[in-house]
Amino acid sequence: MSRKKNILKVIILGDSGVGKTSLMHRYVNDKYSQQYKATIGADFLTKEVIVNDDKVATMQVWDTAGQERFQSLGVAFYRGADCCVLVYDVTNGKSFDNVKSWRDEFLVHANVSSPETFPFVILANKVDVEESKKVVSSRSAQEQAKSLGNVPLFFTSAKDSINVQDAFEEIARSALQQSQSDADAYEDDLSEAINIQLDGEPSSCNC
Amino acid sequence: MLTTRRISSTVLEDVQCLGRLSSWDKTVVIRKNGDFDIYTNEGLHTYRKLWNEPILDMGYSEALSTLFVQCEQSLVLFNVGNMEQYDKIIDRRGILKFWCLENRCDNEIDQKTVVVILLNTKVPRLKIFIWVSRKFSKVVEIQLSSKRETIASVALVDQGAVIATNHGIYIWKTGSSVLTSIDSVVTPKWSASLSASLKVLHNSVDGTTRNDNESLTESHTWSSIANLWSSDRRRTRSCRALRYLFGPNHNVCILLDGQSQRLLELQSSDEGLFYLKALPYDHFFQVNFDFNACEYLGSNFIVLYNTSTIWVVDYEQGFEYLKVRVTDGIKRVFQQSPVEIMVWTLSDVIEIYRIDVDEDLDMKTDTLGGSMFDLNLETLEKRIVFYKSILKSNYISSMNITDDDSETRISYTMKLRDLYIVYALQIFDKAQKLHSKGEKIGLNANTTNIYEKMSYQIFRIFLQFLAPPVLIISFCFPDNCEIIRRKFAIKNQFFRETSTELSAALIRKGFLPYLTETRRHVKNISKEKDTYWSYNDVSLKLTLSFFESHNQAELSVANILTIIDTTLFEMYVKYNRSMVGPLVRVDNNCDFDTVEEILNKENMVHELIDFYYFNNEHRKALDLLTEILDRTGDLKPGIKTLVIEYLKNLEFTDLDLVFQYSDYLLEKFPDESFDIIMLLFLRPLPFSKELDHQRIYEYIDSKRSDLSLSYLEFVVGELQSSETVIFCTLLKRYLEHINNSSTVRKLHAVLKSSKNYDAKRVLKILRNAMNGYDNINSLELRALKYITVYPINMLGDHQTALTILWGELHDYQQSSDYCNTVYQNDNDAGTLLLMEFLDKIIVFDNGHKKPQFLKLFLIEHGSKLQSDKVLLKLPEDMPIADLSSFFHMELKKNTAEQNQLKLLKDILYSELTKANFKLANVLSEFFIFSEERKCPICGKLLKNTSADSLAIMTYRNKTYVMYSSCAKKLQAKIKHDEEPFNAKRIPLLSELL
Repeated sequence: MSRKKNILKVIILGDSGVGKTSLMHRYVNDKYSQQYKATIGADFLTKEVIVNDDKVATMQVWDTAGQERFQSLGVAFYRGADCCVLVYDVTNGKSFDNVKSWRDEFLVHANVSSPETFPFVILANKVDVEESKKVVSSRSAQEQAKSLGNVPLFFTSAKDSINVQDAFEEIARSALQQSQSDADAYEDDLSEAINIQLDGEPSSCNC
Repeated sequence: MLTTRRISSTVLEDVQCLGRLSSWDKTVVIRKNGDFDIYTNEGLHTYRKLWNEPILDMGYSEALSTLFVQCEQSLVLFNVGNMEQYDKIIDRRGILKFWCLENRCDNEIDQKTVVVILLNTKVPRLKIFIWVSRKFSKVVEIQLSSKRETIASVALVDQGAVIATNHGIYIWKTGSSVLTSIDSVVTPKWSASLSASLKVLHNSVDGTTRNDNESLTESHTWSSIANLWSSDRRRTRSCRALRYLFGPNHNVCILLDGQSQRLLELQSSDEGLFYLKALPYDHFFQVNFDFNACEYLGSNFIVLYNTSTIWVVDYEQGFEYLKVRVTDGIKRVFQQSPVEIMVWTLSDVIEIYRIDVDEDLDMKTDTLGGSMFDLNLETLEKRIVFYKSILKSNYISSMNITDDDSETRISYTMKLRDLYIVYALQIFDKAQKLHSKGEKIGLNANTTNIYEKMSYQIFRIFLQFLAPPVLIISFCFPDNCEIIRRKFAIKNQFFRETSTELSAALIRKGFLPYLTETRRHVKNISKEKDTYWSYNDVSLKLTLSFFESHNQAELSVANILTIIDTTLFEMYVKYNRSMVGPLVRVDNNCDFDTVEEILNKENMVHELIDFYYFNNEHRKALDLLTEILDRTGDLKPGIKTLVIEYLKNLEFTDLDLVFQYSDYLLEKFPDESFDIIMLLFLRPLPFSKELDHQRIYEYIDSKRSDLSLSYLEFVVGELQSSETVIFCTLLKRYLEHINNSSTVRKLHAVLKSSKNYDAKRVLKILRNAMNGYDNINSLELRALKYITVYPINMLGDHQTALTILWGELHDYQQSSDYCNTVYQNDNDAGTLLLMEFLDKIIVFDNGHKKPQFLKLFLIEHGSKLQSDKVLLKLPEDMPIADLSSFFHMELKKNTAEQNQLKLLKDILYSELTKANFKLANVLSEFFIFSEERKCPICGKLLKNTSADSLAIMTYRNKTYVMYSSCAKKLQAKIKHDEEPFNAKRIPLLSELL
């Protein structure tokens, strides 16, 4: 007797230490902790969102352990993902370099039906650090976002709460669009129902 | 699948009524003389003459520990512990029937809701009593539609009670005084049973090709399937009048409805409206019809019975697992335990039957072989439902076969997996043959739809049970088995001749998730990481054997991964091309030759280049690109960009190859050498800092000298490189054009902004350059002198820097700025340098400018130095007027310091006043207490004795008066509590000695 809810499943990926968990906590709880704690497996937080001013949905933000690549996360983790957020650290060139690999790994593991239209969002995190420590230029980031199919790119800081809200609003919009277009025809039809008469004799019965 | 044996038989006498107290494991028999006989494992206990009115029925509430006994006009409540009557509900109009219900939620027992429903004898009215958390809550009365309306069954759900009558189904929301009729009933379009769908497919295809020879060869299997649905409809259906509600768990309520011959599940819509939804199976009433009563057993099992026979069936599809004939006739059946049923016979005998599993029963096969592949579909499906149900129930733990039932669970789970996979493969084979046949005669859309849905369900089974990949690939997609045929000598009997194309959407949604999930597990095994598969509460650590089938030749984990990945690749090429790129770019085990061949054949150049790149076949990739470049016309710029992009990625790993193909490009496009070199080497990459810049510089220098300088500037300026060789090379290149003002500016900028260069070496280069100039006043030499100040500054030799700036270049402003910068970084060093600068100005021999400089110096730096020392140094002939600004500044500085101190003093005084006020408040605290007042710590009466003084203390925001000694103890306790948990104090050395 459960009711269907409009749930938007968002998965955050990126190298270890780029700030995935911090971004999630900043967005969901508006909190930030300086202390680094490795994520074990995967974990998710939820937040009610209003998209396009009128649609209410529950955003389920799935955080992952960047240390491990995808092998430890099962099909249940990826199934039904509506948006994938790729995070890199502007002070870590390798994490930027790996954004494309994370995207590819996600596509392969999540069995995305149409990779061309599946929404990704890139977050360039830790922009609060001083300029001299930044190794990934904005230009390179924009070029990469363009080469990956004009993926929206946001320069964020979970620490100073820069752009996090805007980024997740875009994520929610993309996820909602995806969830509306990705209805599963095979599963839906199984639950499609027709009316019957309870008191009447079943038509097939001859007794 | 189930067998039974009678384990006890007890003859009863003069029975009025019989019931079970399930949680106490007791059977209550009420005899006509009013005796209550309680049967337990330990024997019989009789309560004599407990009630002398005629008793019609009984019910039991675990939460209230109460036995409800129904008499003609009353309901009597007995305490189950001692069988004492403690209450009585009277209804003068008579009680026709009653039901005692408890919600089945997993709450604590004392939080349960108990509902007792009484049906009036004379008027069509219900009286409902409600207890919540063991406390009586309220009673409500509800009118039924007519006197002819009789209640067939009731059940409690989270929202209230569901009441099934002969007129309809109602929901009564807890506490409400109305019944809401549930009028909406729906049924799914499709059966959830694959064999039922196969039957539909068979009817729509084979119905039109009845004379087809092939269909005749299949007839054996078909007849067995057809039998499932061909019930004997001429027989009397005694279940017609039955309506039975039961709840497999607290949020599911199912109605077994004999009237409509359906099983219906209660559902609620988003708006909170209730409706009934038929279970997606239509088999149950076709094979079960001769019963008139039911008893839900748990999991998927339900007992159906009439006066002579008991059947144990699953409530979804109605497969029969046990049939017991009771010769004495059956009055009622109760569940005694998960593995025992109790039968109350017509001759008043209680017979207990134990139910056991016999796995060898019902092994109907299509051939004489004993393999699972020979089992017919009905047998397979029946066994699947059985193992599914048994794994869901607590039957296994009740069997008491071993202390640890996990082995049995694992064994049953593995059997279920095998059965499911074989079942799915058989259905797949038959459905595909039918579909193939149907395609020849022209299928309608509905038939294709059924076929696709079936295939999807089958793929979900493969995914859920992680079916062995080699078996599945070779069986379902023989056309995609080139890799298996070509590379692995597998003894494999699963290749089939029939295979039809499945839609791309079906492959994407159904088959690919199975492949990727299997791939993930096998990859984990290959990396020796733990990987698990779970079904219900069984979790298995997987090894390679889990993914092998029994008649498959032994393959290594790498081989299996190659088969999976190559198949995945082929599937992508065929059904989801845009996924080929991502797959070849991630760590994969695809067969190199197969992938190369297919990508070449399909002309998927981008993907092939990526594949080469990730397999470190760079020369192949570049040869391919250059070959295309050689033969393309209009596409040249695009391909050229691809070559450059590819080469850029190799700069870190294979510079020789980069130079080789860069030569090729420069040769092929001589007019574009600037762009090529710029794009290749002068654009930042994430790893640009780590490249061998010297080699790249030498290469560019050999091609374009002008660009080699730009490269040096790019490395030093944009990449912030501190490589000495590169830095010095840049310096030398600049020094070649020292007569150019813009080069001088660049030199200043580079030396000023760079922080990590080798200052000694730079200084040496600059000094060597200066040696080449004879004219001491030449502009170039002056420029060089200014530049040398940067490395000298970096070396910390400020005196030399000052000597150059003042002594040699006579530049007051630069000298002053330099001293000021030093002072800002280090006050002491700066003060010394400023004093030295002052000395130098004083001895400056330009009589005209000297007073000006002195005056300027005193204005700019006077305040940084000690005024007495400065005054002593100043020449006596210096006009007092020139010193006015110096004194003015000094005075201002001292006044500011004095003001600061005064301000500080006032602040501290204000703090002191505040602290005194607080102290006065504390000292003025008082407390009045009587003579009986006791110390809250020691409990002694509080007296103003000389032995111990009294103290006022605040603890947890409350103020107490206590003895001082007690206050100290409390203080010590608070301090101890505040210390970090378990933090042991480390003793000091002095304490140990």
